[in-house]
Amino acid sequence: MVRASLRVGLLALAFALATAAFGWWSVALLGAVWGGVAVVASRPGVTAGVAAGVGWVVLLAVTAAQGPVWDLAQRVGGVLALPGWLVPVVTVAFGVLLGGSAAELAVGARTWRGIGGGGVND
Amino acid sequence: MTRVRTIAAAVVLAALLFVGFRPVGSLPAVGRLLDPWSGVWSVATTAHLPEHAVGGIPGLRDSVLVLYDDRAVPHVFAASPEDAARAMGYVVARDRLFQLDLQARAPAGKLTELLGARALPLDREMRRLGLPQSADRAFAALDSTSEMYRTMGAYAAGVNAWIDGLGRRDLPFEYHLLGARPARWEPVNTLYLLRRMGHMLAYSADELRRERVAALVGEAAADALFPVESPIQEPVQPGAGEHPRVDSTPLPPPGEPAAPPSLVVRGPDERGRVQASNNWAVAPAKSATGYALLEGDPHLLLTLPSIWYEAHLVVPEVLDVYGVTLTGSPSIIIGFNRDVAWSFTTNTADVLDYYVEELDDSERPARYRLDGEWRPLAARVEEYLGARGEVLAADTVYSTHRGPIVWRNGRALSLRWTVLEDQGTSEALYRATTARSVDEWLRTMEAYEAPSQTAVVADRAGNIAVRALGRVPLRPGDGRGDRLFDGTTSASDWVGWWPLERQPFALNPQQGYVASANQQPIDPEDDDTYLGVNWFPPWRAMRINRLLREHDAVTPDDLRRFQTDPGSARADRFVPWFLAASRRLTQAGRDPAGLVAAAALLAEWDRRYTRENARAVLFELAIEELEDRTWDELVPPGEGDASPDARVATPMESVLYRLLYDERSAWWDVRATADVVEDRDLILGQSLAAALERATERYGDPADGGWRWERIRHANIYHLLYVRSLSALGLPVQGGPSTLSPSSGSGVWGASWRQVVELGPEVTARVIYPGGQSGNPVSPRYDDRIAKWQVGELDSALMPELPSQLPADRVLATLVLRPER
Repeated sequence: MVRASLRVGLLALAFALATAAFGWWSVALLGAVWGGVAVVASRPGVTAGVAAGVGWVVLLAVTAAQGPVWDLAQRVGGVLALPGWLVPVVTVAFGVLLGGSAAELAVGARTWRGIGGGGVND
Repeated sequence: MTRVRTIAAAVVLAALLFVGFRPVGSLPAVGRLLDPWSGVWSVATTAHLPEHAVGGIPGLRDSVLVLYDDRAVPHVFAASPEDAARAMGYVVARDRLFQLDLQARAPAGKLTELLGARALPLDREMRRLGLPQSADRAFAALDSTSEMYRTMGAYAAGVNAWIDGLGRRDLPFEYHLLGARPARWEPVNTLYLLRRMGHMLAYSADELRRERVAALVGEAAADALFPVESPIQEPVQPGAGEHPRVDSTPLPPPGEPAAPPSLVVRGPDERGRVQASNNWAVAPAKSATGYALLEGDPHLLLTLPSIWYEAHLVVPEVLDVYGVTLTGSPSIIIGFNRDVAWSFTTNTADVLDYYVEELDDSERPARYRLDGEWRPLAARVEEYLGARGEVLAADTVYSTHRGPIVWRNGRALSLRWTVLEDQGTSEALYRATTARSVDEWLRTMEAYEAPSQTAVVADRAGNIAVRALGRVPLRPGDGRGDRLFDGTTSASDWVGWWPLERQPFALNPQQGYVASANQQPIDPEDDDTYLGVNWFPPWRAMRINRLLREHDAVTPDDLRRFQTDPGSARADRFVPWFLAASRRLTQAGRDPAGLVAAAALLAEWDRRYTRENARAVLFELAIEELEDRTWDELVPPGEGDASPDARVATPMESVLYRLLYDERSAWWDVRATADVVEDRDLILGQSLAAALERATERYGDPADGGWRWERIRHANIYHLLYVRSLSALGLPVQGGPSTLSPSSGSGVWGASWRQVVELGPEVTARVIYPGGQSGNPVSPRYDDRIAKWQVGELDSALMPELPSQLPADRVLATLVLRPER
């Protein structure tokens, strides 16, 4: 449990750093890498999704410490015809799905190529 | 199962990458938008100015200190005017980068490159009118060693220094929505901006309006409905006669059509557009403190962020000026220095003419006829690019020696317009900020060309003056410019300019004040040379003059109160006619159903447009009904209704007022009621009764509170991109049509800046504009001034001569700008 949490924490940090350094799309890249190499983790897709979500929540929290993120969410929500509270939810969900689906895809590709490890079997 | 999950993951990932990278419909690319670090969320991090910041600008000669006071107004302390201009470019870009970009692209006809094809109509209009070409010509003609040229270059360097230093997290909100980046600022953009103001303030089509009217009701009627002389005279230039003076002679009746039916087309509904700037100055003898006072409140399209940016520029012994600049102009446009204060209104002089041209080919013209000979047309191809550089459309734009050709009702009309020929305005505005007296300010502004304005100016020595500014053409023949000219002869061309000494002007008049409010500036009894047509009714001028006449010891706070005064000269003039007509109709037993009740309600009205007032709405609807019934002759045959949209044009209310003196004018007769010949009283009575019916239907019983003015008329301040969640809408305000702070029907026009300046030993000023200094929608400075503006309050302006004079507890932030290679 501790090791799993640590794994998610480290992966979340990696997702956060990659996003800050390269942009949102790096979450997909990192998720795919994780899915391709994570032989010890169970459900690497879920792990990657959760970690990406946590990473993005951290980035939003850092931003919130510097400025009025809630007010911003209301304004953006107005533009996108969404309730303000939904904007951060959609943002984090975007990261979760991006990281998770990329990892899941990489796991699947690995399995099909017959090089799967124990962690990827149902 | 694994395979299914993998396929599902692939589909989800593909979909996320697609919407992440590509805009879908009107939505931006979601990935870049929602990126939690460098996406739209990063806008929150720039909501507050950092307490201390350092920046670099190439070309600075010395460091510049910028202190932001607690209203977020930058006080720029520089060693030279050029350094001050560099710093101004930097601080304006820091607060308003998107607005700078948008406002430069708009007159350049390049909005499509930012906004896509939806902006094509706006871009086409700008380019077909030749606005960008005209600015480019003016810039090319500038002496590259001149102060103005160097100042525009310095300002551009400041803006670009900010752009160059932008990090991934510094982009303004709007660029995230549009998925775009700011364009670099070119020095010529300042001239584009002035062309845009010219388009907003001095682009008129009175000739075409008048032609549409003449096509329906004949030349004589058209002349009377869109008159050269305002039927109510309350001139800017104090004259010898009694004012206000009303022309009560009968209007000529509707006549026979004077043009082919093809020219009978609906005109735009002009009711929503309220150009309603005011300015006035009070002489020391009339002010409570013994010092000259100056007020200014230019009314423009209200936007968030505001068209204005407030700033204070200090260059020791050279420049010490406070006021508002148009974002993109290095000069303070309206404001004050330690000796002089000034403000502008638009004077609506006729500075644009149309010429009907004869071309050799209507499809692909190459030549136009002039004085019996064919002359080559100038032609240029205008390409409109999209955001990715793709060509959205292309036009060939033609010009004659007069100016660009526009196509109206199948005819080629060339236009000549002073705005397209302006060369000296930017420099005049820039130099006037250093004037030390009214006289010096006026002499400097002699170089001002367009758009035509009326300036009020006052100085510390107690002088006050009002002067019309800008070049106004003299025409051949009878001198009038309210008709289309024959383009085939050079005898139609302008023959000169109004000489400066005959421009409307007054210096220290005996009445102890000067004022202007967009009305006809000179009483034709004093000078009947053609200056313009279809003048705004002088309702606001009448109210200002009345207030200033009634007060002998005016205080700055009086001027503040006057700015949102709820009284209405228009209501004072019209209401008695409604009530008298109702009385006569009732006595004669001719009163329409509901008139007695309506008249009783109207009689209760104090003729003030306060927010809680519950009778103004009845009057406004009665005026609408009156116009619809009276001007039914201006609805083209076959149009079903008599609404403003259906009319080819609507005469000014001053013409309607003149008509009231003619009880049996043919204009009162409603064409739809063939068996009845209506007269004035019946139309007034019917209008008032119908107004009550409409008001009750729309707003409920008058006793139920639904008629309160604040529930009916609002100010609406839209974001520059008309994004509702970034706008301030439905703001209740005091004021109605033709009060000193009028509210238009749409509420999108209003007092864009208010200032009251007292020119004592120390200049003191109170100011406000609706909005805030920051263009960042989540900044506390985005719209922090609106609440005060709504209720007519002003903020005290701080004007430290030295940085040390700004109290430490009022310093919001500090910026040090250093030379950078």
